[in-house]
Amino acid sequence: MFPVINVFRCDGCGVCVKRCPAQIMGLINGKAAYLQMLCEECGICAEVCPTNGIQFELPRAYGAGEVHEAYQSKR
Amino acid sequence: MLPGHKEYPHIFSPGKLGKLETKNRIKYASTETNFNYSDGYVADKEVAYMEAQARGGAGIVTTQGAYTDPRGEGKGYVGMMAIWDDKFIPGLKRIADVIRKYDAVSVLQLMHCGRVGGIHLDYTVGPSVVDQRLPRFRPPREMTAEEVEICIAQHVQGALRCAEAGFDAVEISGIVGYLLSNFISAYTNKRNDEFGGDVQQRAEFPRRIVAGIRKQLGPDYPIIIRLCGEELLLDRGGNTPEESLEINRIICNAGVDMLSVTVGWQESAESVISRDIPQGNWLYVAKRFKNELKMPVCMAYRLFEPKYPEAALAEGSIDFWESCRAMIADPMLPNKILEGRQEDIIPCMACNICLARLFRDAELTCGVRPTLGHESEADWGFYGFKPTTDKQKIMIVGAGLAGLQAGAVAAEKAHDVTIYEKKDKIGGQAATAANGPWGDVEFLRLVNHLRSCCESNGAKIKTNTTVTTELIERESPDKIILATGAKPDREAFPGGNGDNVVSCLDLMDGVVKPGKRVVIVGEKGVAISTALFLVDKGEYDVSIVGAAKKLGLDVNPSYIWRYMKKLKEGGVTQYTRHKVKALAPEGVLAEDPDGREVMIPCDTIVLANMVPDNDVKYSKGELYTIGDALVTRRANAAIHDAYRLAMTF
Repeated sequence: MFPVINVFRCDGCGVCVKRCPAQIMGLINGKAAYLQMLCEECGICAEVCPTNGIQFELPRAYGAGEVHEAYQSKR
Repeated sequence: MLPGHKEYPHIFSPGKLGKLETKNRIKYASTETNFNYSDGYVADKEVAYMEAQARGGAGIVTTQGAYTDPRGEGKGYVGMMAIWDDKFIPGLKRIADVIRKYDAVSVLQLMHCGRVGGIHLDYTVGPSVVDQRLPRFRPPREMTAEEVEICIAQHVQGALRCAEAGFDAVEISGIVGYLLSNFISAYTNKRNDEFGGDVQQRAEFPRRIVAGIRKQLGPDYPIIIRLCGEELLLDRGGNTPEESLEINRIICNAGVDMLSVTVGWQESAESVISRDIPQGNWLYVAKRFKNELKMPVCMAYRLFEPKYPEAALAEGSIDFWESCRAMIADPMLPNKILEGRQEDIIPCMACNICLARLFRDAELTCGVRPTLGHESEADWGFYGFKPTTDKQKIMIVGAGLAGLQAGAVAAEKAHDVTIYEKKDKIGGQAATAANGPWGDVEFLRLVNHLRSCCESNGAKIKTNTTVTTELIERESPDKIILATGAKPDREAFPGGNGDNVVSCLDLMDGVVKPGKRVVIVGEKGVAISTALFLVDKGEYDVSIVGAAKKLGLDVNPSYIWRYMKKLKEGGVTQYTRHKVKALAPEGVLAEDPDGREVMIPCDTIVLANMVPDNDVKYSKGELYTIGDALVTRRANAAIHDAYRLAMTF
């Protein structure tokens, strides 16, 4: 899973650039960006971002509150 | 009769789980992946991963733990499967079906993560409130007796759903800091009611779960339980080995068919499964339980190569060889051993990147197998690459991990591959690092495996051959892959070519011997490994100097605390936040955090400030740069770069 940088949120603080263990992050026009082919999907950038500006979340399946109707247990 | 039957007769003898027969004594152990949807439904990626594990030939295949409660108090991983409602059964059934398809016994694991749960909540639950020591974990709340009863019932319901989904057996996780282990351990259980106190009472909660499942599912449905044989928490009031034995005995007597013995908690301050622990190290704990409880026993934990479990099986210490990381690295491990092709096994390096990813809410990743999570995607070639229809001549410069991995994949795709290595031996920095202590020699397993892949796919390896303009002209390749790795940066500071300045690579290769006082210039894992190499020799006075706030920001957290401990024990001085100004005959001139100039005296300066070694004077065709030659990183990056590139050829 690759992080998604919310460019609208990013304030260019550079913490993610410093903390990326692979050192593949930088700033373009003052906003965080990374070399995706070298991304190790470790999640550290998302963890250290002080503005919560990096999305790193797994998708939900059927949406909150929906019940999977097709299955009826015999019990 | 296949080679494995002859060489490892015990591993490949049929086994029994309760009344069920298994085709061999290999059990693929439960592994969290974070592949599933964050609301608990099973994802295609998980099914594809479990299919790979089943196709690999293990006699028993275990799912990851599924959490048992609707609030998610038991949920410790963002992509963990759920079993707290019938609606999850169809997804779980997909996994049971695919395991059965490949003739393995299917087991589903129930897991309430307890102390390390509540991943989507701001609290976690347990027997008592005992403060967390690791920052990631949520503040604990004490469960009421009524909540404990509900939790037992939820486990029993989970087991019923497990059977309904078509699994042959159910496994309960009671290890490493999860809920059952929290009740079992005197460290985390301070209760005064029926679920806390003496060993009998601390065993009560898990015992009731086993008894409840046994009652509902009848005498024949196999129940496996994973319990801690030794907690390694004596420094904080955890159980003694004798208490663990007694408690586990009580729990197993409630109706368990097999006990999987583990060691240590995530919180334990001792190494348990890292590379510095020799293979087979913990078998004595399994043996104790086998002898005392006289029931079927299995164990994982640093049993990577078959000779260790084979001997343990022969001796009767274990009944099944359980395997987690070794089979994350290569699900096909059982079949490869059976067919007598161990050199084809992708060897786990115990880098623990897999586990580190889970703790950062990321998907499971493997340092040595980039296809993890992509098993069903044909272009990744997990089940094999089709030969190319557009054969290219590929020249690879450098036979380190990146070069060898790229060569192996490109050759499997039937390209014309030659790997050129200027040194007289292959393996690059990995071979150099294999001179390090505490299990690092195992890096050679990876080098040898990649060499074997190259050779069996027809890639040629030419050592003692530097790639020159003339060679490129003569060979006229379609593609050149630059995999020349990294070197210390002698140009970084004045004095870099002084007589007392040496490369960390030359040092660890034994080409140079330092004087007594050594200063290592660097701040990444390479600098730490160089220091540990010297610490192990015991005759040096070692310091490390670097500009970063902390050393080893590129090192996996699972190793960094261990390294820091060893550096401290070895008396290594760490000059962090020091900017090196010059390398002088007397030592290293640096600027301390307050801006003052300091001289760090020494006999030898070792440079571990790696930069890409990618000085290209001439090229032909398409040029690609991978591994450290592109950006200096760790071994997993070399493997991943190479694989991801070559798979597109």
